[in-house]
Amino acid sequence: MCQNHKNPSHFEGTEIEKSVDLTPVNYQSYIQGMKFFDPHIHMTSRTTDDYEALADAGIVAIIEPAFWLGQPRTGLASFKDYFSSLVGWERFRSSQFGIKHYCTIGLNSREANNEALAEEVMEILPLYLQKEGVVGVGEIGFDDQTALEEKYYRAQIELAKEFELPVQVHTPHRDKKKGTERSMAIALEHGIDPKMVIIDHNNEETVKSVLDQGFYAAFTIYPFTKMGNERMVEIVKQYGSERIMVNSAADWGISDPMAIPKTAALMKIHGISEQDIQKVTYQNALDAFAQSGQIKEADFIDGLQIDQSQKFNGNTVLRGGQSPRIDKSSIFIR
Amino acid sequence: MKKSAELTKILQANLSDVNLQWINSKKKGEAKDLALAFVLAGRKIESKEISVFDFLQTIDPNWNLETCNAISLVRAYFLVLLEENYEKEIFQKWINELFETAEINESIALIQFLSLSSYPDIVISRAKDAVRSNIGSIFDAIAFNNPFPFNYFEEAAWNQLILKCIFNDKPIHQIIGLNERRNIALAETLSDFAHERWAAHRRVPSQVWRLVIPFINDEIAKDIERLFLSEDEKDQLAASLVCLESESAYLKGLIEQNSSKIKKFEGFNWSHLEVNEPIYTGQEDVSKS
Ligand SMILES: [Zn+2]
Repeated sequence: MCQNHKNPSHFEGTEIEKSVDLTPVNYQSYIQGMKFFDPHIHMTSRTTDDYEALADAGIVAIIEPAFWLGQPRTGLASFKDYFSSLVGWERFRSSQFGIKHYCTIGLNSREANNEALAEEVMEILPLYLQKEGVVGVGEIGFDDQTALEEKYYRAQIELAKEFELPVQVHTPHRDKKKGTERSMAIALEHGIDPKMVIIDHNNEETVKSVLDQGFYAAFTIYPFTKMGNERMVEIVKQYGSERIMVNSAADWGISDPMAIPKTAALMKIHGISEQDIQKVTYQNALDAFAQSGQIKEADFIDGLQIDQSQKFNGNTVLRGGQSPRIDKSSIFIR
Repeated sequence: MKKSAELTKILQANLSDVNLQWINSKKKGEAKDLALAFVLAGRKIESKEISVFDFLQTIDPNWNLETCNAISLVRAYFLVLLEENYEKEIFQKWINELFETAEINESIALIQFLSLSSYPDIVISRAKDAVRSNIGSIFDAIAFNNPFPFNYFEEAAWNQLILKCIFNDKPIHQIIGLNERRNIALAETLSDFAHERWAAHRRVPSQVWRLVIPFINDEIAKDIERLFLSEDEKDQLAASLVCLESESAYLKGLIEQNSSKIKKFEGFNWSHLEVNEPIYTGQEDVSKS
């Protein structure tokens, strides 16, 4: 298989399509005052510069799905530490920039192929799925579409039903159309309400069927892959804003955490209504994952609120609060 | 009375019937069920402040916390049950699992529970881990209004806690046992720390100097002299308070020289210095001038 010279993302394969940079405008001016919700972004792979940029661009809340780390894990402990970091350290890091951090927890498709380890991971999932701020089972689904992938996809749909959580479904890059159909058919077979399922990484070929069957359709705007934001504009023009959401899926590959604000600006330029933009860049993601009962918009919509349940140890403690900003234009580092 | 029975009374007086029913449905469970109930409390229990002062005082008179959140208290209740109803080894297994998998609010609840535990030997390493945490609210949970470090930390761990607090601009006066556990090693380290800060044109929160009072030596006396010369009134106040509270011969001369300053602060005490004093100022930006 021909691997390209760049890092592939955690979800894509090898097909690369160069897009031409057609954005000479200052996109920020088109999205003044807008608020965004990125329901798929892997912040453990990103720097504090990204957090600052996200906050500046109006992103008020994010969801970090559990995924693979670019190379396979060799033991349960590294899964455990990773899940714990999603509900611990990363949540804290995000809060320092005023961004509310949620996550979905699950066994990703690639690592479902290590059966012995997968069994152990399945054992500890319930512990994490019942935690505060865990808004779904994800990202799960197919990669190579093996029998083991199917086995653990099914088992995790059952967990989602048991804990009444939405499911965030990763669809394969290779043989995408069939993989997407298969993912949906299995979900329906398990009797889960399609509105509890977010089918991710859609494109023009898959979107119609996903929407027709009542699922949420998420689109990942990711450079060099098949889904760029100009085409996203066309999709919203054609299909409207009902049950459609965009995300960045930014990770350790060459990706763009600013995908949502940039796409919103492009939609604005192309005359899509602010109401539709708000739905696909904020509201639909919120509605879909709030079905977990774990998202309160009031916690972040007017700036991040201090968690009242952290007040066990008295309320007069001076909170670290948000990180001080570094003046990047200054030569001095203090 | 068992701790669980006392906690039950507080819960009954404060929680809704729905919440109490949920707790009842979980409290007789296996150890694993109690651990899961600890986790689930975050989703099931309504978040609100409740008064716990009397209860905590019966456990430890140093505990000066008046209210806590209902979720944290319910979590403490399940941990107390785990401890009362199961063998030490089983408790140890589950408390470790909970610490290792905890999200932030769970970590905080676990740390606040430590002083309720009958097994400080099992949990002390977790308490020290919390001091190492970079997550502000987790550090705060062990440092402030929590009697565990005062009761169980050995000197080196205690001193780490104080130093990390000062380093991170945290309010040391909310540490239980601050005065009682002053020690010479800490006093000397603080003096060194102050020299470093001063060399870097940074400052030291003035209230820190209360920690050196019983251990004045030649070197620390010079630090106090410097405080008297500071343009910051808070430093002058700290120097005056040190002089008033210390019997050290090293300070005799200083007291005479600065008698008018000391007189000026009559009626003041350390509580006037219990304020937020960032040691990392860095607000001024030369590049823009
Ligand atoms: Zn992903």
